[in-house]
Amino acid sequence: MGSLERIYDQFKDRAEFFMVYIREAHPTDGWQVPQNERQGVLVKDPKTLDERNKVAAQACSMLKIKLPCLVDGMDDAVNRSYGAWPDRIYVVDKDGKIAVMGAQGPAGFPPSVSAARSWLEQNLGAARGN
Amino acid sequence: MKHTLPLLATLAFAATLALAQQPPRPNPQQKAGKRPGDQRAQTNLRVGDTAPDFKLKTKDGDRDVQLASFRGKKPVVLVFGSYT
Repeated sequence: MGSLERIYDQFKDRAEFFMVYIREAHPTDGWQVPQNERQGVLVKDPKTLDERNKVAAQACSMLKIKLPCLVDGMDDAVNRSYGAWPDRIYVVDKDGKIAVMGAQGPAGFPPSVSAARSWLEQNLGAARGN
Repeated sequence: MKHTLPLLATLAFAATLALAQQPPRPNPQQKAGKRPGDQRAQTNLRVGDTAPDFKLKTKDGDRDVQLASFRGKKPVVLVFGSYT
């Protein structure tokens, strides 16, 4: 998340950033993974929008995410239309077209952050106050 | 014996046809989707496509954000993810 936050700090005046909270990747009642168990990140898959909002708020504050957090509806409509699960980065250009489409999943995340940064630098100019 | 060659050729042709008619191989992501709990979904979106519009609430429920509202104004970076 670190390098993403740096990009956010650099470009937040010239681009909008949103974290979109979607269906849990590794809930305790789903595909639980040892890494989360060790770190005490134990979350049940929210079954109602109210629960989902609470987990989203918890996630965004625990992970110290500076980006504004949006929450996908219980129909997972946005997640599905973007093929987003478990995580994915997109950059949408000023005309509403997809400019950068990151790969799905944690392995795709770091290269996607780099791709997003390159695109922002090329299209908005080099970062200021860097 | 003189029929062997045409027969082989016919068999080879039939095998090629059968292969050509096989459904496309599932890609690794779809394979991974069979793992319990893996809910990866494919999307037909490509770079250059119009990003599907959405209107979602912030985590505090205090504000609606619509993607299309930024059109003509600013690029938007979307970071999809969850807690776990």
